[in-house]
Amino acid sequence: MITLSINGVKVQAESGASVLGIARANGVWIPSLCHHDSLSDYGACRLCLVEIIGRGGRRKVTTSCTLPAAEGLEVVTESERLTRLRRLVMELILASCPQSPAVLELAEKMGVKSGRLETNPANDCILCGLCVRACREISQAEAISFGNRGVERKVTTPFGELSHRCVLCGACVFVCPTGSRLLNLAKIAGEEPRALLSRFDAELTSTGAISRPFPQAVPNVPAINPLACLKLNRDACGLCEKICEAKAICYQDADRLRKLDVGAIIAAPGFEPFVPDHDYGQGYTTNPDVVTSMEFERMLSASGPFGGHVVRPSDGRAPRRIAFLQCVGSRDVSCRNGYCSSVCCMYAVKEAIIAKEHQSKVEPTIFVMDIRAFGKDFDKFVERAKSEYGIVFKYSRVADVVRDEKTGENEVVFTDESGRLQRERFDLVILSVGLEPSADMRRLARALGVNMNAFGFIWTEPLRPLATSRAGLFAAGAATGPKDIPETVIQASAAACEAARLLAPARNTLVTAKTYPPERNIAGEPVRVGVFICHCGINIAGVVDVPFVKDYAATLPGVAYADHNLYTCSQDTQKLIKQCIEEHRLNRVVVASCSPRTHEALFQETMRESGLNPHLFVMANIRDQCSWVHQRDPQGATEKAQDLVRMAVAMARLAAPLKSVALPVTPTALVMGGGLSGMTAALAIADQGFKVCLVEKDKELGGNLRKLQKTLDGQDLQALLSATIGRVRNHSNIQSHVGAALREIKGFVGNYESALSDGAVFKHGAIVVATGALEYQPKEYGFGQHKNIITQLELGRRLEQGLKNEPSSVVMIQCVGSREEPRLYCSRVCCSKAVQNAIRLKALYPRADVHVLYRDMRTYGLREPYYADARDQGVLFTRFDLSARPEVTWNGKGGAPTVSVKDPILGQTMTLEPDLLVLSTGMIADSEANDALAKQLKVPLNQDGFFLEAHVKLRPVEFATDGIYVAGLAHAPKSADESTAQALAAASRACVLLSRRELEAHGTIGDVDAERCVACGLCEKICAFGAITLEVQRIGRSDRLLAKINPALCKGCGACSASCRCGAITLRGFTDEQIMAEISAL
Amino acid sequence: MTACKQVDLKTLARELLATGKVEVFIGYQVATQPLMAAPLIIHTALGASHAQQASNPDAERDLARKVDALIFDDRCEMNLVNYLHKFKDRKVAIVVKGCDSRSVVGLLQEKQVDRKKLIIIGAPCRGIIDRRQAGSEIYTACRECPVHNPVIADYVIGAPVPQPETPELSPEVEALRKLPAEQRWERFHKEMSKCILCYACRNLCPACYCKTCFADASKPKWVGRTDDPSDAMMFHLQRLMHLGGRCTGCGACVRGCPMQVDLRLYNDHLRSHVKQEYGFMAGMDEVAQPPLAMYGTDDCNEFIR
Amino acid sequence: MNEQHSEWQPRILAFLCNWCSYAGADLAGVSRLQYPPNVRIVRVPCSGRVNPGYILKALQEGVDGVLVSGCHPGDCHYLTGNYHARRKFRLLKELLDFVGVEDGRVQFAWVSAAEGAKFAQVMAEVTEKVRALGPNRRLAKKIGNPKSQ
Repeated sequence: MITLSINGVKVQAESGASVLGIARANGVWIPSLCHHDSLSDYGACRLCLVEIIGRGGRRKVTTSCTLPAAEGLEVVTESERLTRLRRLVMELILASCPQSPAVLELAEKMGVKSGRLETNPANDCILCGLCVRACREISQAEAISFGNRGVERKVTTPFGELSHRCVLCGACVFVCPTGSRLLNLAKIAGEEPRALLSRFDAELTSTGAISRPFPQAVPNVPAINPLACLKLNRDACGLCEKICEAKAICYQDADRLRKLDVGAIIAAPGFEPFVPDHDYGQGYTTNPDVVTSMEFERMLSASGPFGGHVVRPSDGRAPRRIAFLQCVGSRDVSCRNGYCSSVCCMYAVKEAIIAKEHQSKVEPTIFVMDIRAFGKDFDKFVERAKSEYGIVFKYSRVADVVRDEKTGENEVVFTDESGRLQRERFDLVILSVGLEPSADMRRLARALGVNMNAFGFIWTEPLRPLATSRAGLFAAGAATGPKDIPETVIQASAAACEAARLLAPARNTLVTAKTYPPERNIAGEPVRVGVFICHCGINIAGVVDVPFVKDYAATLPGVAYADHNLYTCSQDTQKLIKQCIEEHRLNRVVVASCSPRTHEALFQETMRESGLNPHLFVMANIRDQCSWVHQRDPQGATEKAQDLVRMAVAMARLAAPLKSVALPVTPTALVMGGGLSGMTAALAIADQGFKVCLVEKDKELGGNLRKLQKTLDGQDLQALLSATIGRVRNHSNIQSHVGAALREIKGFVGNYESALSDGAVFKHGAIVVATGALEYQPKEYGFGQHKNIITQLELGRRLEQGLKNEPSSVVMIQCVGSREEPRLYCSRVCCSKAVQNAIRLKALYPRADVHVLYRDMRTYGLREPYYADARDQGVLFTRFDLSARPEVTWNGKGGAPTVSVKDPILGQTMTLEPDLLVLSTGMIADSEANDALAKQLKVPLNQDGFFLEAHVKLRPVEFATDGIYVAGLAHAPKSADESTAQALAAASRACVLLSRRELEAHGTIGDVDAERCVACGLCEKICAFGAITLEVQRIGRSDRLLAKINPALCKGCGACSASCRCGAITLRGFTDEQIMAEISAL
Repeated sequence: MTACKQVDLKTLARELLATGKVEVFIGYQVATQPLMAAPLIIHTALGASHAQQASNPDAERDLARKVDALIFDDRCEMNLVNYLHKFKDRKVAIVVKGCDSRSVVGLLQEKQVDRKKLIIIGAPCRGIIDRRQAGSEIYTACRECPVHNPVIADYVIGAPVPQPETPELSPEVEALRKLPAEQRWERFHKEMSKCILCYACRNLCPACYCKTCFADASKPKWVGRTDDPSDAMMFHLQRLMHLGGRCTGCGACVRGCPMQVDLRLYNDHLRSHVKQEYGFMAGMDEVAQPPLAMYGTDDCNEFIR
Repeated sequence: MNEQHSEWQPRILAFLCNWCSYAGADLAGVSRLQYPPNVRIVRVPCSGRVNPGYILKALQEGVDGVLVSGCHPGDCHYLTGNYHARRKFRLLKELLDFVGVEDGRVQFAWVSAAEGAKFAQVMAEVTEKVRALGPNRRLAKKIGNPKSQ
């Protein structure tokens, strides 16, 4: 290191470094156009003139960029002479390059106006040579250089020909200070540069060779794209390594093969969206206004390529009429995807609604074959889309999309329900693309040694939906077939359950507990805050005046010590912080650096290692929320950083150590319901070594499974039933209570005590609700009045034995009691059941006419091929609207039922006289029982009387109240395999709880001040987690009703505190006092 | 109002006290000032059993005299419900007008009184004489009152009175709403500048029963005590927020204010907002859920970006 | 003071929920989206934690504007905190509007963890709106408050 002086101020620098760079690093501004930190200096623009003071005070003018620093060098950057000279140079640059915004801006800053010299408006190159140096030094391509002499001099390729050496990296364009139009890669290399497209943005935006995959990526760090990186591919560039002050770049990192010993494997490789290529038609590859739903999803996102504005890609205008074409790449044997993708109907409806919300003038039309809204509460969503948002559904088959090049409109050509060809014009067409197995699924399946199904998804056992063809290997999610989010989340937990069953004995054997020094008791100590302010390399210090903020922090009340560090998060600094805590007897620590969301835990760890409670730590975010977002306003940023530090110190002064509470867990589960779900959950929990108490209200186990014979794919459910009951009865960890009900339940997560109607009383830590549902008993279509009118379940039972008489005609009516008020939900299984029975009928009685009257056939996912099969077998399917439902009549006592329904193709009423009329009845919640249980457990029901989970997408088996889980039909109608998966998932979640010896309630929880509480009950109503109850408590000598917060259930949101009028509840760690102190500190 | 027995006030009081059904009877008596009634609280001797009470002739006489002093007429302005907080653990009977009865419902909702220990004596009311108008008129609030008959009562004294049509919103508030923000601010500033932070409004309000009012709390200190109007504003705005969805419009705060701060304007405004937005009227239905303990997924979102 | 700060600068306080809006603010930083430096941030667990009293107190302390931002409806980390907050804030807004506090002194936004761009935009818009209103003179305490002179 040497010392030189700039404007009389002594600064330290490395010998030989550029004086321009040193001046800038020390906050001294010198104009320049041709300097770039990562390129060699060249002195081309001549703007960075400075004076150096020689012996005897002689002043010499030179360019600072090419001036190497030397010991004792005296530099002056501002003088009249320099201003005059720089202005002259600027005038010349301005004349040669009069329209570049960057040049104009700098000229204005230097006080130079154009006018004196002749200008050349066509030129925008100042011949600084940055591009040439970038091409040589960064890309090492040497594709461009200076050519010609004198006024002819220009940047060009050798002989002005297209360059083979150009790698299209764009570094020249990037570094050009004037943004010159002359740097045109098409002219240099004869090729347009290919942008690296962002996969996350559906390739609608570009990204860099180093980037974060998407904002919430885990881990959320940038990574080098090995296919695009110049360093990795051509050993050129290496710029990132030079720039990264944290020295985090390592080009040597490579894929490594690792060998792991594991007891189970879960495969969840997901899916890929279908790509409608050229052969597929509908113009996706040629028509700019035909986009896929994935693209449209990004287009609608506020953080997407258009900031959430709905625009037409071709002209950027707002579209009015938009069309969604469903089943693109699904339900289509021509592209070998004979299955239904299950999710497209709902995402199309969602996207249509969002588009409408973003832009009320949008008129969406959805072209469907069937509206498959089979999920929980999906039909209500569709009805809202129709009634509130005016979204139009058109039953149709789309043939093509034809673009009118003149108007830019797109004609959707389709056949309507009556079979007529129709055309409608739209501004934008969205293809609702389906789900496909990922491209390398085959390779993965081979590597894992598991079988695939006919469509290339991983095959799983029909009744053990996570088990693959290989023992110990499980598959979950869309890799085994298309699925919506809740189903994949359920499967993920269920797969974990299957794995845990095998691994239960090894639980916790690989854990090593960390030990900490005993916590220092700071009670009675005066507040001594230590403040550490981070430079984060130049990330903060490049904008915020860190030393100044540090000096400021030292003056704040309560601050005993203030320091600044190059990287406060580094290992060295952690040591330093620990030393400082000891040396200065600090009892609060404030770090002003990046975001607590990423780094709070690290610093809290340092606190614990120093024997301080982690809650005595407060962070001020002066990078992500300050220096990075106010780069152009260093003063404003510095003032803001001061304020943020002051607020953090005010908060820290009031910080108190928070204790976490450990509560024991009783390793037993209560499973309510002894049907398929209840038994499956009980077995899964019991297999993991926990006790289970299984309660069934009926006299025997089995529930609804007792009424079912076979699944759609022919699996014997009665065999499953007897096997499951057998295992439950013989399992040493399961205690069954049949014919029993829950009489009373006390306690909370981990610590329940229940009493049953049969007198049993026991303690348990978790509850699984699997109480099932009921078959709807129809009043419609003459059910119960005619012996030939039966339900689908009854038909299934009769078909097992064979019908007494061969039928000549069977009619099935779908959605009986489902999908209309007062039960506006789909029962999910009836369509598949009808298809199953129809196929069976056709197999047994090929001559019989089988007619299915439906509203939408909902044979979702891998059930679709059976629907196709039924049609192939000659089963007739006729759609009806709710407004024109079938009518059923019969003559006298003996007459056969007559069904009349409108045929949409003929447009006429069709009359059928079946031997058997089969009603596909839905499922209904056992409202009375559910209501009673919901009240006992304090968990909610939805409006149809089914149990309402914590989050319909992300937490499908849990309740908001910890320790209670739901599975099977009690949650919503579903098939046997789906119930099984959900039961395993609920068991999995329960076992996470039961496997802990104790629950650690975190410190940031609500706290009731008994002196202030008036027991008005508002907090109890507001708490979403059931953590607050009003209880009589002994206070001093009297018993008083008070709010009580259960630390095991409190999540620390503070809604209770903010609502308490009396100020009786505070949130530890975020107390009213602390927040008010922050407010007052501002 | 559910149908219940019409009774004579004094007969009822005598019986309730004599049979020990209540220990405290809260009603009205004639006040010393003209056109006013004062509260009359009749206790049976503390801890004395019914029999002991009866055997003490002095106490008996005293009780009889007090019962005879009970009145109910158009001078009975005060909302007596506030006294319920004082007799939380006792068996109490209380005389309530329509407006006051809503305060009782509010307290029942918020579990501040035990219904089992409370006998509510409803008093249908045509409006209270405005003594500032020398008795020629009833109070404006009474003209606009939507509940001339109590919403909850075990006994009723006198026949139900006809319920006149009342405006949805007091014309004064409606007029104020229409003024530009500048003028509304001037009005607010004027009202707040009158306030001397004596807290009479709070002390008289049946819905203000916190053990430690935020205004008296020191950690943190929500309200300063200077004569800067912003301190009064902080107090009143926060109190108004606390009363949102709870204020029944009984008018106790306005009647009790020594500086004639017109708090009714602001409480009325919020009350009508809550009614319009959530269809909720405080103190009308014991089992209704208060709007601020609830939420709707489709609540108004327009004011949020 | 350099030139750009010689004019009056509004001081704005923002309460951001930890899970969505604070993360959105971080994302704006990571994406280097530039916005005016007038807003000071208080991190709270949930928008439901924000007592309307904080907002009033901040205004009394002389802050020129207050923003509360939380997760979008339905996305609350604590399930319903933002729904409860929305009702409370609606009431506060009704009250402040009625007493004549300028529209825009107190503002609300839903910003998700993915909406860095929206966060930067909200910051710019809130700052501009408050700047247009001028200094907070109505609710600010005049006695003994050096900040509101």
